[in-house]
Amino acid sequence: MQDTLTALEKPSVLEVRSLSVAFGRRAGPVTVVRDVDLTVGHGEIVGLVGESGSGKSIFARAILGTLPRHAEVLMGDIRFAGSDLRHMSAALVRRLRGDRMALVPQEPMTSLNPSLRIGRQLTEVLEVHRPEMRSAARTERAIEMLNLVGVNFPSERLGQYPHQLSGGLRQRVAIAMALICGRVELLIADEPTTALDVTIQAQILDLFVRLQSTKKMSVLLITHDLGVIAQTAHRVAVMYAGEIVEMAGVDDLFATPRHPYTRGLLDSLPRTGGTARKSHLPSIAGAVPSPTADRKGCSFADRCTFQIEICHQHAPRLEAVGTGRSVRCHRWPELADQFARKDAVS
Amino acid sequence: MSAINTPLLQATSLRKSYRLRSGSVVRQIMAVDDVSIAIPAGTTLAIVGESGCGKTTLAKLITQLETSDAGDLVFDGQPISARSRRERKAFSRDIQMIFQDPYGSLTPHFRVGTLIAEPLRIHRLATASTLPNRIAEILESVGLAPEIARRFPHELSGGQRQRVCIARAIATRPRLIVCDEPVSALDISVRSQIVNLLLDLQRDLGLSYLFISHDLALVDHIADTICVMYLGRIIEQAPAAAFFSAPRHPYSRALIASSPVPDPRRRNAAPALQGEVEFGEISIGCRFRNRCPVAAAKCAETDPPLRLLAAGHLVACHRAEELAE
Repeated sequence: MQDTLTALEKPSVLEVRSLSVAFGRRAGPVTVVRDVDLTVGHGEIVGLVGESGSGKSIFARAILGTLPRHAEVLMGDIRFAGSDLRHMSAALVRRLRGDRMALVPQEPMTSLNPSLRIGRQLTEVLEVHRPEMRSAARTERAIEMLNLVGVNFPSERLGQYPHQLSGGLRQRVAIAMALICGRVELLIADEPTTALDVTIQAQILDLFVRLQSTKKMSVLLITHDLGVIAQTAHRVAVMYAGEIVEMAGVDDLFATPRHPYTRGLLDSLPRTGGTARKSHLPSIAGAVPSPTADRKGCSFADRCTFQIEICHQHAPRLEAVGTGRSVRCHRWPELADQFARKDAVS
Repeated sequence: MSAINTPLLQATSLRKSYRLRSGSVVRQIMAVDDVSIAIPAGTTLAIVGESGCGKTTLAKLITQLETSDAGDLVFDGQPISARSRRERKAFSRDIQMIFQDPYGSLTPHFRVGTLIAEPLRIHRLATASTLPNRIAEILESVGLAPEIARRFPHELSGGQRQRVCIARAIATRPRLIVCDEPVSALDISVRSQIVNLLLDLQRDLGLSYLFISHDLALVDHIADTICVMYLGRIIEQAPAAAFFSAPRHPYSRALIASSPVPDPRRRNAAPALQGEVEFGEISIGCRFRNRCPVAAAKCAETDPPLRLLAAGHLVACHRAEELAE
């Protein structure tokens, strides 16, 4: 909590206001990110949780300026360290990307170039962003970075190809690549540990947290895994069907979720030594709505245990509920009591 | 666990190795090395372990998708090797499989009805006149409306597709279903629906499951017995409650400690394990010793056998007793 408050007082590294992104279609554009507000403060790890199709990856690509060709930002502002990314030229955004903001993708097998040696891929970033550096210095820097992210035998690794490394090592190389310019202020990690085994995941998450605190970076951590969020994030935004439905400090979110969807997700997780073995797990009925479906009212209404008439008629707004918290639900005041009581019982 | 008398499936000392060729070098990889398991009827045995530990190969040996190099498989009291071809076909009806990826395991150009009819035809479990009703019944038992039979897989959600895969598996009225990571590709909000369905089917049909997963919290919830595999071997096997309350192998402890708990008040300390699995050269000694935080001199000399520590609790570690304290 302490971390969250101090982080909020400083100016934000990333400030996104009312961002909407749509895919063009002959039948009319399909909005996949709608009206998203999100800030990432200095030295803060913000978790963005959502299921597949919630729009979380497209949101990240909108920030980085790497949207697929048929997608476009409909409206909204994206400010990075105070400057307006949306109206910046593509060349300027390219200069930022890989230098002051960087991406760590999910599967480094697909993001690393399979036909280039590790050393070449690392030094290439420096060639683009640090043209003044001499070639020997670049290699030295690459070795230093591999060391920093815990890759053993760094100088030998420079001559290897991605397929010669394990998944965990490839992810370490991807992190080294993201940080190699040494000026990263915002690191966007999109499901960075989803493809890894648990013991390796624990190592990579630990690496993230250590790098973030020593380098005072800000991290936007995108994941579907609430365990990963609980272990690393300071603040959390929950995304559903393209919208942020809840935003809170990590302790608050897990202790007293305000949105029925967040509550449903948390309840549905099996816990070691928790519920009676082989009993039914609480579940959320139905499935995520298709982005092409007509929507009127709350996007979660059809699956919500607490739906009433108004939920199907009017879309709720993201409302502030106390400091640093917001929720998009018509019924949050009454439900807050109910959710809190449930907590007291368990 | 009272039904332990005659297990439905008993596998003894299964082995399977693969040849791995890289350039001109051919290496022998022991994917499954001397593995024995028993699954009593109506129970769930979970296999946990990281990629490359041999859990999927073990599943393939049990479903006869691969033949083992050595070892015995006894199903319902009868050795599989002693069976005639016709008996083996009946055996394939008794054991079915559900895979991780419901997208990849349904032929995209067949309608759901055709997909479910296939196993029924192969095993002659329905006639042309009873087929539509039987399909509707099976769909209903996995929580799908009969109309779904006319749809194509791409028209269904991930959860519905996995239900169709389960429907195909139970169509032959099997007694054992091998589930290879059946919910890990699904969204969290759908995952528990499928877990609940598997639990219901077990209770209603008396099914046994061999459940392969890397999700320890899930396995704790649904399994009776837990087996942990590391580089082709079972290194710990125990009833679920005993395993999670007192894991004995250092690797099992590391797995439990590495699982991200969905509770910010219980953040993990430093990573429990350094390094990664090293494939290939299994020389002498314990195969976990290079990553083991408590490895001793003895561990480099002799390979620890899987031995009984307490009722139903097997561990392959020289230091299991001292570490328990």
